[in-house]
Amino acid sequence: MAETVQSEMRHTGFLGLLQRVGLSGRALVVSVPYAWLLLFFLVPFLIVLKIALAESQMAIPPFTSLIENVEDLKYQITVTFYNFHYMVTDDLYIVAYLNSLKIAFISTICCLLLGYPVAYAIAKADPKWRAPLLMLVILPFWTSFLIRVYAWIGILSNNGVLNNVLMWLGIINEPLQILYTPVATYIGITYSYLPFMILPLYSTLEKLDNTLLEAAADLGCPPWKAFLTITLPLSIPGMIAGALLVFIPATGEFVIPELLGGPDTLMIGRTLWTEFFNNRDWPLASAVAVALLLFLVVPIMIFQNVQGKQGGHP
Amino acid sequence: MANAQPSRTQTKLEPWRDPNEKPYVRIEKVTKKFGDFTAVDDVSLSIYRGEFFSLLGGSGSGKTTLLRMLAGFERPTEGKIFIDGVDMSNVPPYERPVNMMFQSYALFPHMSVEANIAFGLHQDKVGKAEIAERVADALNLVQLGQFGKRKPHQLSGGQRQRVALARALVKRPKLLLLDEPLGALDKKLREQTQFELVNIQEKVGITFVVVTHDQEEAMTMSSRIAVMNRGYIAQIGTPTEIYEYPNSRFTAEFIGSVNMFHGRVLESEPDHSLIRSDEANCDLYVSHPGHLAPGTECWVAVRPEKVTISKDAPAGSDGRNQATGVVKEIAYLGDVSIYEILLDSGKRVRVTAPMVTRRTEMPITWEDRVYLSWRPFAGSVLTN
Repeated sequence: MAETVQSEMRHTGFLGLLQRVGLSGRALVVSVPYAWLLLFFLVPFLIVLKIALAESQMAIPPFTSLIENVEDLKYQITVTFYNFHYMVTDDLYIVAYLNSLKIAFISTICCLLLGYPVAYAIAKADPKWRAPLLMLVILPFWTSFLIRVYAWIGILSNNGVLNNVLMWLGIINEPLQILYTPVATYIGITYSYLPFMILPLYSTLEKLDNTLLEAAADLGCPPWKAFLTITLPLSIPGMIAGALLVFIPATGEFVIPELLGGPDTLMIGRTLWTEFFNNRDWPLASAVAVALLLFLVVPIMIFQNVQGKQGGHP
Repeated sequence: MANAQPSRTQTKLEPWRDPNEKPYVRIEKVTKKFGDFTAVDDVSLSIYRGEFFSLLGGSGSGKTTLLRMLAGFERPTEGKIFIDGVDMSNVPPYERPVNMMFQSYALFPHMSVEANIAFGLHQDKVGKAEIAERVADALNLVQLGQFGKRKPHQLSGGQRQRVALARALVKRPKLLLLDEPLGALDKKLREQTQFELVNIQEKVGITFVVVTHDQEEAMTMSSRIAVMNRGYIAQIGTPTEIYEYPNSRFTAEFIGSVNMFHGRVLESEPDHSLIRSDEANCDLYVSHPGHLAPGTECWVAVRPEKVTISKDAPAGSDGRNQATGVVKEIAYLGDVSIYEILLDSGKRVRVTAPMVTRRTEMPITWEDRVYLSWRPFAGSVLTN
């Protein structure tokens, strides 16, 4: 008893201290993630934004500084929107953006079409098989992403595994040119991001109450129709979560189009890389990055909106 | 026990007593095994048109499995089920003339109340106008006319229960299965809904099969009850038969409370049995036909409310059906009081007595020496 009183008093003392600095315990707890986001997201973003508003120059660092000391105690802030203007006027960037969105969209659809049956099968599997099956889904993550993408070169190239097998089977007479085409990019992205689609879909499907399907059957609904009217609509949150987890990183994807796509596979991540490392135009690269972020913020906000509405359900 | 039986005038009274009446549902030697576990063990029973039939039992008694076999979600390992004369062995759930109300209600969360109720009608390709009309009728039947546009999560537990009932009724099934229909409701609402359910059943004239673990619920609503224990049927009968003439120790102890006196048969005659019981410290005279050979070990079940408690020796007693003891516990419930009496033999006996007088004037109190007695028809002779 005495112990509790003592600890309570200590607690009060600590809370009192917090209150004197103008903080409640609750505010302190809430502020931790905000501080994290501030330090590791907002500050770097502002730095990138600052560079995007500068001009390129041959120097180290390769951009003009935001604040300049013109003379004693006189500072000058230079902001240029040249980079953003250039991005809008030169077709390259808009085409790259639209192409990225297109590739990300098609890849997301492919992931959904492939991932849904897999997630459904795992969710319907005997409970003792579910954990090993999920393990298999995330197993590829244990190997380097880069190595796995390289492995696809071996599979897709003209004298690669796929072409050899198809020719051996007599389906084709000469090798198909898949590597270094957009198709290879789709295959690469779909393969790499498939687990991000399967996992949220699985968790939604696994939670689906089986008695709802029994109720549907009881009311005269055959299984295929129950899937369309009950399972599919109730798994929409999982589909949205999976689609965003695939779509957002796929839009900015650099490695896969670089390694598997041909020179004509234009994606914004590649353009950004070229500006940054080949042209050493940091400000323009930063402007592209800022614009990409804004492009991606919109889907995230849609996602959060949907999630918020989901929260209303019991 | 709330034993007020709602009158059942619309249905033919006691069709199971008429040998010419054809059963509507016939369960023939049905066994269901899950691996090594036998959930339902060689059950045979017949349910007649318009009945309100209850499957009563504790958890693991196989009552829900039996219901799920009627709905078609489980297939019997052995045996057959006939509904309206048709063998249901190879009929999938979505083609059975049966609807079920689920214990969890299983309302579709993404559909409005109306869409939930209309779901079954859409499967039957019913016309739009007729669907609207029948959904409205069903909503009115369960007094939810205003709630058609709501989603299930916007309703209270009692309202969801009604939606589930409306959804199951709207297809006008031949047979309605209800799995613990009132299980999720609180006590007060449950009692109201019991009567409502019986009224609805009489109005729509559908055969109801209800699974319940609540004996009071089964007694209140049912035309007949099948008491289930570990997969087999312990007894089938009307609520009165089950309560007054239990056929086994299990049924007697499962339904209501009961005092069991262990003993041996002395006399077994067509009009009575006489049992010598050390536990009761007297000979027990039971005025039902004796069916056990003298010398057989048996139990005599006597319901607590059939026992009279008094401080004076009952007049004109022959010493049979009479015991003496000391009052150890008194529970005052308002309408009745429960006394626990320690007999001279060391056996504890429960007696309920209606509170005719106010509590302050209660003549019997703790540690009083009392006489217990009961009439010859009160007891039932049971074996295991």
